[in-house]
Amino acid sequence: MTDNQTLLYTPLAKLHEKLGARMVDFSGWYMPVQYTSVIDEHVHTRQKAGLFDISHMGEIEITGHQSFQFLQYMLTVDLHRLSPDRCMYSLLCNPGGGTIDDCFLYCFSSHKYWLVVNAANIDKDVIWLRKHAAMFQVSIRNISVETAKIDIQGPLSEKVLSSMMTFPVSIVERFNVVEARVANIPAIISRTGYTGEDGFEIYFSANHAEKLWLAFLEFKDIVKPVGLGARDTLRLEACYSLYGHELSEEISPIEAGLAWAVHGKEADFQGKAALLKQKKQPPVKKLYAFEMLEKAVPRTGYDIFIDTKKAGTVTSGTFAPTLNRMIGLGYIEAPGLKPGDKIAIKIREKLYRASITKRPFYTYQGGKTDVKS
Amino acid sequence: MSNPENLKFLESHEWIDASHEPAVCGISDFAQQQLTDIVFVELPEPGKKVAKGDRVAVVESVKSVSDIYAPASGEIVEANTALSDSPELINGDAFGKGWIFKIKLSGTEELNSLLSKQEYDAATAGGAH
Repeated sequence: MTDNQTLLYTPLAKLHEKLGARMVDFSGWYMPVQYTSVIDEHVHTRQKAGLFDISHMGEIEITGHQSFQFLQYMLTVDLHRLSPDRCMYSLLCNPGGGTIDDCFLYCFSSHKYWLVVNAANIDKDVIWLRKHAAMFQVSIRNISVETAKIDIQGPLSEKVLSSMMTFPVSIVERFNVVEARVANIPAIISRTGYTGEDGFEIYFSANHAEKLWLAFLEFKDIVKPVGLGARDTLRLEACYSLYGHELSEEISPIEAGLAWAVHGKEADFQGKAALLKQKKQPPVKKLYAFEMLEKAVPRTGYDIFIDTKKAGTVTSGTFAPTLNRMIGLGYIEAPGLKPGDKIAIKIREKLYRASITKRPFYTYQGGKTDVKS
Repeated sequence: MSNPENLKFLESHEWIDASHEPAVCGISDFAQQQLTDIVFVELPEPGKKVAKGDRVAVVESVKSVSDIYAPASGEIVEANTALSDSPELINGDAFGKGWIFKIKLSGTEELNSLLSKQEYDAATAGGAH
């Protein structure tokens, strides 16, 4: 996108500029790609605490006494597994099982939920939800603009956040949700994230965005602001999917290795027949993680070869700062590939050797369980 | 770091030092600052004959892939193999230890069309673009 007038701004965009971040157009949003360097920010998040402006993401509020039934019909997860003040990863699928979006579902009560969705999909998701809402007594409200979101991620997150609150945030367990004040700003906090580290996602009124960002930056050597560049390398080491790369309307969650987020629930839901069939008979095309055995960086869109035949496509690839290796994810059409199996990536007309690896590259460090709870 | 006086530049940020034979080439300090975190350099094979503007190397940062062009025609005579294990040498010393290749120039006429230090300074004065 080159037309500046169509760019969207988070309530922190001006502050990012002022603090010296390098700003880019990220699928229509004017966002910080880095403050100092992707590697520094990545390493800092793994060692101490990284601060992320995630205000571009969408929040959709579902209320009404049939909220439970409506979301049970729209989402791949079984809402019986979610109690109030908890959240879980889920997907919105089309009837063919293709992925409309991946999201986090927050439960406040059986009459009030939030869906936290990808920035680029907000409008599409709202239209999709509204299209099916007529049969249910629910109200759907897009609260994305008035809602700011800051993530704090890394081993020191709990300590930092606790010192900004009136109670120790250690009592909030992974995937729990609490309403509380942070630096005296009313907020909704969940112990979740997209980095492979312990951490929190904080939702609050956009009016307070600069105040809260600066309050976190008071912890000078502990908390450093992190751009979307490191957010991507962090999530890739942890093997979290990124919509538009590992997921799309042509890709099912089963192919993406997300069968654990597609529940064999009794209730009918969008894509149920197609998805449950795929769960029984796994598709030949599947997402694999791999690492390079030769020096070269795999990138989105590069071809994957088995022997001399094209067998797939890279969906994400990078230098992995924590692992000091070149890693990637990609779809490969070949039955029964195992960790250690050899593949090749075509980079500038040359084939470079790579090897299938176990997912994830980097194991969740927050203790207890990761997203697959 | 200011750009050295004795170098010539391409608008695409390559530098060439033709004050000795063979000439030495790399990318500017401005370019490495824009790229940050260089994680991989694909080096040219010595012996390769190149024309001005040919792609001779590739420099990759965490997020980007940049082609490096020959500032003038000639034959590649050496590549900086230290960059294979330490691509970050370009970040640390773009005009010194971070040189990328040496080229035996076919002639010196093509150098006249390159940017002087002053012209390159002016071209990059606006910062990122």
